[in-house]
Amino acid sequence: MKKITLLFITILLTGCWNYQELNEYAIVTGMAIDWKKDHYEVSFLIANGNKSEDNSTKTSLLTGEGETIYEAIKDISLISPKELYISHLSIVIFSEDVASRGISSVLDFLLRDPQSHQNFYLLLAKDKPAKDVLSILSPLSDYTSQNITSNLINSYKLQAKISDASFNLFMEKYLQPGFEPVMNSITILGDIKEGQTSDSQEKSKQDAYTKLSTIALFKNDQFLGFATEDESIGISLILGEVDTFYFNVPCDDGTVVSVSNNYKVDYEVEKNVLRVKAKSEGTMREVNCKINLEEEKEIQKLETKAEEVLRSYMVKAIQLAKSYQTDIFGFGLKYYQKFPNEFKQIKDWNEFFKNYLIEVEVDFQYTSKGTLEQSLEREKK
Amino acid sequence: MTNKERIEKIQKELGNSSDIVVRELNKKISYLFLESVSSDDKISNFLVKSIVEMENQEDIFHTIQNTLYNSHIVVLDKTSDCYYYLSSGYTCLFIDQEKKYLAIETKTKLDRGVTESTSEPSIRGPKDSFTENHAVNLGLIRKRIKDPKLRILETKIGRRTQSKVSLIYIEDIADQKRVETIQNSLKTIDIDGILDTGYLRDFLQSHEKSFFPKMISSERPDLACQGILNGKIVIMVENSPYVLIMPATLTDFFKSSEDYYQSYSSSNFSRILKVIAFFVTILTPAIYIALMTFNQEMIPDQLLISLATQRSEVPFPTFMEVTIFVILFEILREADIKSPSASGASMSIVGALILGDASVAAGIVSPIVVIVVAITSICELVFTDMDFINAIRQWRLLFILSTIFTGMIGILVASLILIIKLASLEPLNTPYLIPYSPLNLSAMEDSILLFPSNKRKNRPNYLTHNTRRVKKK
Repeated sequence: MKKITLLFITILLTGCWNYQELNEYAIVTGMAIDWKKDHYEVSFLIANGNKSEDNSTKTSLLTGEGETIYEAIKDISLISPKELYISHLSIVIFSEDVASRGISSVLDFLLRDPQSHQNFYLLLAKDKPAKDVLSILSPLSDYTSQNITSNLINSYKLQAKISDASFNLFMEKYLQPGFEPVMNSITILGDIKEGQTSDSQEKSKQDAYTKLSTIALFKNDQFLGFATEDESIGISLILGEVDTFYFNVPCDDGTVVSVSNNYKVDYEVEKNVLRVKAKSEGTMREVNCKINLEEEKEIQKLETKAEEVLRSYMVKAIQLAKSYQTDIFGFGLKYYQKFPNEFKQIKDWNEFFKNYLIEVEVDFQYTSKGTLEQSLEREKK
Repeated sequence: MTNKERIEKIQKELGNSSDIVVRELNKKISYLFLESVSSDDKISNFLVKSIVEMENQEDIFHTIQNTLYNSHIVVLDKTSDCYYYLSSGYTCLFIDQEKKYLAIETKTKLDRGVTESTSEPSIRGPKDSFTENHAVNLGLIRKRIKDPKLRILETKIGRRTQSKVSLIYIEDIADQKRVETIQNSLKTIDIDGILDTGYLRDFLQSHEKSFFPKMISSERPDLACQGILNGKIVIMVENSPYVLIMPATLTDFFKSSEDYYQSYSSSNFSRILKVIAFFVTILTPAIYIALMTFNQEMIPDQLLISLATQRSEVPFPTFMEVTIFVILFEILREADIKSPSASGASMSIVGALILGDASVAAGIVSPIVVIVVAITSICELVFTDMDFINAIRQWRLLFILSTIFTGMIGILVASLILIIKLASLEPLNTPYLIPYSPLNLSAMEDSILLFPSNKRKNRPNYLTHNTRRVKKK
């Protein structure tokens, strides 16, 4: 009994360490970082704003300025009546300015802060200030940050144009030798000012909305440029980060939209050449030409064309990466794993990468034609 | 001593109570009884009628003793012996010039009949329950277990109430040492009166302090018999519809007598539900406080935001909100049990509307607290043993107390203390957490998980040495 009383007393002696009521927190779910002349401008999206009449919550965007990220955040806390709480941060958006200057100081803050949970996504605001992206209200979700994250998660699983860009993955690539990170970008369509009011949420056609855009290439912590859509697909394909994605295969007088599943990619590393071997199966989703789908030959023809299409995506991506001299595919890492001694002798991998021969092989097979056996026009006859 | 002297002495001793009835049948024979506990019918129809017929016999004392139409006749010697019998509904018959006298059973029926159990109702299973009548209670057990080895040891406890206390067990199953231990502790009881089995509780478990009950108290004869058949010892007290079944282990409170009447799969399902409910009801308010005030990072994004907005208008700290509401609910429950059923309706209006709805609308508590307390109390209702429920309530408050200061760590510490406390309990030399701690594989067939009845071949070996339930083939 004595021991138990002692044990209870030890609990009481701790006082209220780390005690904080939930409603005294301002829950930060989104963070946007812009560059203004000579200092950072950090904006926080606070999720638990005032309760509105219909019990839904209002988000609010608070902005602070400072020479360092931390200073800017402290500037925000001068505005906020509640303690800023960034454990539930789900999205961090950089403006192009910040990204081209290098984001290492931001990454350092996000890794070092004890509250930070490092479970969020990184995005680059294309052509627009990062702050504005967070301020666009979505009619489908009350929280902009949530809207963007779920948009991102659903997209990178189903489309090759978007890559998996969680903070952890970005950091992993950033810290490893012979691997450069990429980031997804986001842009705003429509009238930004209208999109910031809650009136816009009530319209069936929004005044402004955010849309995920192509992949942004980085070298170290610096943003270099955007890929086109085709190049973005190529990047995702080489990285092997996709499972299901769609692409168009040209046929005689139209296109066959195909959806690939079971996509797998393998790498064969040699000292002077690297072979990317992709293997995939697919189904047809839309057939716009008069091709006879019952003939084995025609299908095989189509498969060869599909392989060519996929291959061209990848080749384009490689050309882009080579032109920027940034190894976003992590070929350097693979080279290092196979030839560690040789890798050490290479002074600048990205320089070496520029002249490194990369071959692409694709093997594609149709496993199904969908629910129709023929193209519609042929079915009619 | 003449009849007159004797009767006067008794009347004087009883303070000339108004319910004493004395009648002189003739010069030789007179009788005395207490009309409050005796049946006039029996006395006039059997006693008086037959005695009048025998009046002219020579050795009247022995004739009456031997031929009276009554199954209970006691021959008494001292005058002081009669009070117990008089209070029990006996009629004392005095015969002049005889040193001894007779006490003849003429009880009136003061008990309700065997009715359905109200506190432990069953859907599938026997409906009868113990009553206030000791003989009936014994009968309810005797008719279920027709084994000649069934032992009923009776003692009288209580200086003034002189209540019968019976120990019931099967001689070749129950552990004799346990029977002796219980008998010894019963012997040491020196008390004015025992009105219910509850009076015995503290005497039987005095040396081990714990909120958790070390005996099952039940009004179901089938549960008592299940215990007896497994080697447990049942204690029955006169005038109490509840019996004590000893010793109890923690798993016993997750079982119900109905488990053995249903298919084993559905019993297992309900037992697992009870285990979940046990943890939910003890931990939920504490976990809620810990999450809300210390470990917010453990709550998923969307829930966190909704919790934060719900709480934004509540002026009190979370722990106060929860504690107030938990205690209010306990009071409501207490009031509901004690109040007559006529006022039950107003109670539910007060409970549901005012406590639940209005307090949220007034911004005194957040809606989620109402849900937390509701979940907690619903899970509590799964258990039928009041002592077990009380233990859960008390531990719940301890858990809340320790989380107020340290959050999740407090829950961890309190859980450790709970486990240590439970593991160190040994009612009647039975580890409380058996068969899990210490691990006892042979007793697993009826622990939390129940094996099908044709596979259950052993009695729990921590209760008895005679473990084989069925013959070996």
